[in-house]
Amino acid sequence: MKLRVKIFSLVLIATMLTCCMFFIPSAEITPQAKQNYLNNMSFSFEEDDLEIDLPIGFDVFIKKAYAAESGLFGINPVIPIPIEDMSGRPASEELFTDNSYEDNSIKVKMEEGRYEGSDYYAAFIEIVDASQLRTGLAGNLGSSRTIKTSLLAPKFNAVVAINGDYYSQTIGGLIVRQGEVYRKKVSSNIDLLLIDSVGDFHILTRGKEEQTDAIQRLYETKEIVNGFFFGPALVIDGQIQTIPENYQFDPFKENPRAAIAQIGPLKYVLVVVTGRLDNSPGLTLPDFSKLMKSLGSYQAYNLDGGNSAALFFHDGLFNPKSLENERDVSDIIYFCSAEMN
Amino acid sequence: MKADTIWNFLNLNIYPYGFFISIGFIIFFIAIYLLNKKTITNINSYLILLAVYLIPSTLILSRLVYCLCNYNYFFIEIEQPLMMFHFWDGGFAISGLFLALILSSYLASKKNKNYSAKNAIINSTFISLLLLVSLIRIGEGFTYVGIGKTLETDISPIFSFFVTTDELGFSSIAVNRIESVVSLVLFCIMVIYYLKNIDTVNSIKLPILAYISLSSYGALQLTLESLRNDGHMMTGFIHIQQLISALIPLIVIIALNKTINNTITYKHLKNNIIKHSPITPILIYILCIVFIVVLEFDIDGRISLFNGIEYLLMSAVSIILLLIPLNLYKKYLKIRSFN
Repeated sequence: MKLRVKIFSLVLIATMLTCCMFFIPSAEITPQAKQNYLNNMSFSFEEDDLEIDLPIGFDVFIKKAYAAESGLFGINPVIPIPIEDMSGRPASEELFTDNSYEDNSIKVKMEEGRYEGSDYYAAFIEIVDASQLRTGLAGNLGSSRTIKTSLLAPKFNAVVAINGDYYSQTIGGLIVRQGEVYRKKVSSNIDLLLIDSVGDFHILTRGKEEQTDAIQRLYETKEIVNGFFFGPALVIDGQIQTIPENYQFDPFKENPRAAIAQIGPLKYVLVVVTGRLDNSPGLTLPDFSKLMKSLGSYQAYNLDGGNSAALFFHDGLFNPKSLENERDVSDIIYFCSAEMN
Repeated sequence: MKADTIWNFLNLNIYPYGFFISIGFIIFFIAIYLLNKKTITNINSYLILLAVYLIPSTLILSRLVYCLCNYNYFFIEIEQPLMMFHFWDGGFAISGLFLALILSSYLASKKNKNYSAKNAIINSTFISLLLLVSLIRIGEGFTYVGIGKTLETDISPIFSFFVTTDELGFSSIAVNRIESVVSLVLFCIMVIYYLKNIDTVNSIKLPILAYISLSSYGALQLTLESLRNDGHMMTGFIHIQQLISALIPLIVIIALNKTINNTITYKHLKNNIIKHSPITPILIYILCIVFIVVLEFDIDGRISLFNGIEYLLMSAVSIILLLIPLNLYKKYLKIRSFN
């Protein structure tokens, strides 16, 4: 090799190696870059339409009205948990029983039952403030990190929790976690669940135009705190929904299932159905809708079932599942106490 | 969860991951040089050619493999396919390095007509690859890639080096550190064997230690990839790097089978010197892979057969996959000794 060629090659090699140090940040797209990509996305709804324009005190008025309706509203006012707090406030250990918890801010009653040949486990929850309904993540928002629900829930001081929508494995939807928007997309074939700052559920059925219009209308009067992308909708405004033939996630096979529902203002139910066992094969989604309706659901939304389905209460899973059988998940929905201990 | 680290030097942002790639390449070339300086006269020319081909092709192929595996992300999730060209935002697959090295070493060593010298170069290149991989894995430790599954029980303080803790207080396996140590150990073993048997190894008509290095790495990586929990190179629940790692031993088994078949003669068979069934290693390989798939379902909780010893069994299967090519190599040496 001629000397000139050698020198040129060595300079080229040195340049390339130096560039590696400045231009190769990671084997994975960095979280900042991912957020930039999401921010640069052309949304199907205008960002200006997402401005909330409520009269001052309107939101607080609704919250107080809901709390007053709650039988839990005690003498001491409840201080809402800031949305950006990493976890809820710790519950009082002595107030737990095998299947209930009650303090001045939250009441949880656990139930077991059987429906269409399968076991189900339900948590009926009443809270005083919507900030007690929260979501927890296994990693930063956008991370693919996963951890078991039974390990994640105690970290957030959850009294009761259920697995979420495994958002890190999906590629669409209006994904919002504790007020932080991760993804802004609408879908032609997946239903969305949005939870607002007063704890009300808004289920937006599939259809890009329909969801865009609904989101724009919602954002005119509501602050969306959490948004989920799994579905389908099981019950909307008290009506059992017809499950589409081509909806994802095996809707007509008997499977373990998980769902969250709103029964009334600040009243909810979490349900998990055991499946893939001889004595509990699971439920189809049409049957699951009927179960949710029978439990009093006004708005009910299907979450990630199958092996992800996990209902946590107090210090472990309420539905019988060993640690070995429990799947790692990317997010959970949980309810916590708001008492200042 | 930790964030990617950035070093600041004279007001310039340096990425530790990129830094370790650069240092890794330098040490890689030095290792090849040291392994060959006494035996190959034109090693410098080979190294320069190799570097000129390898560095850009690594970046291109690593990025290409990454983008292919994350096609859904660019085209459907963010709907910005042009972001595939934004390599400075991160996103590289280490399997691209392997492809790049195979191509680059072939092109750079083409001028060597002497197959013994060619084998020496290729063998030492792929042995040194293990050192490069080890350093790149260290670099991963400065990013959020390389984090493994959450530890559900306490482990002995002896292994604390292989554990990392996040801001939620969860202890996770630092898979990148395990991979780095495994690659380094493999490198040391291969170097010691190479230096002790340099004449034998380089006289074989194919670069046998290159094959063995790759297949050993692939076999062990099959288990290590399963330990990851960083979402890197995953499609659904499938680790793409695990699939690629599984293919490497298969390719090596097929190549060694072919070599043995070409070497074995009627004399060997008539005198019962050697028994070789090319189907047997492939059958064992297939059984191992099927068993790993069953273990993955068990780890996911869809079935419950092994109750907590899945990774122990997976490691055992990896060792079997590592031993198959070694056994074929041993057989080949036996045939040669009778020729």
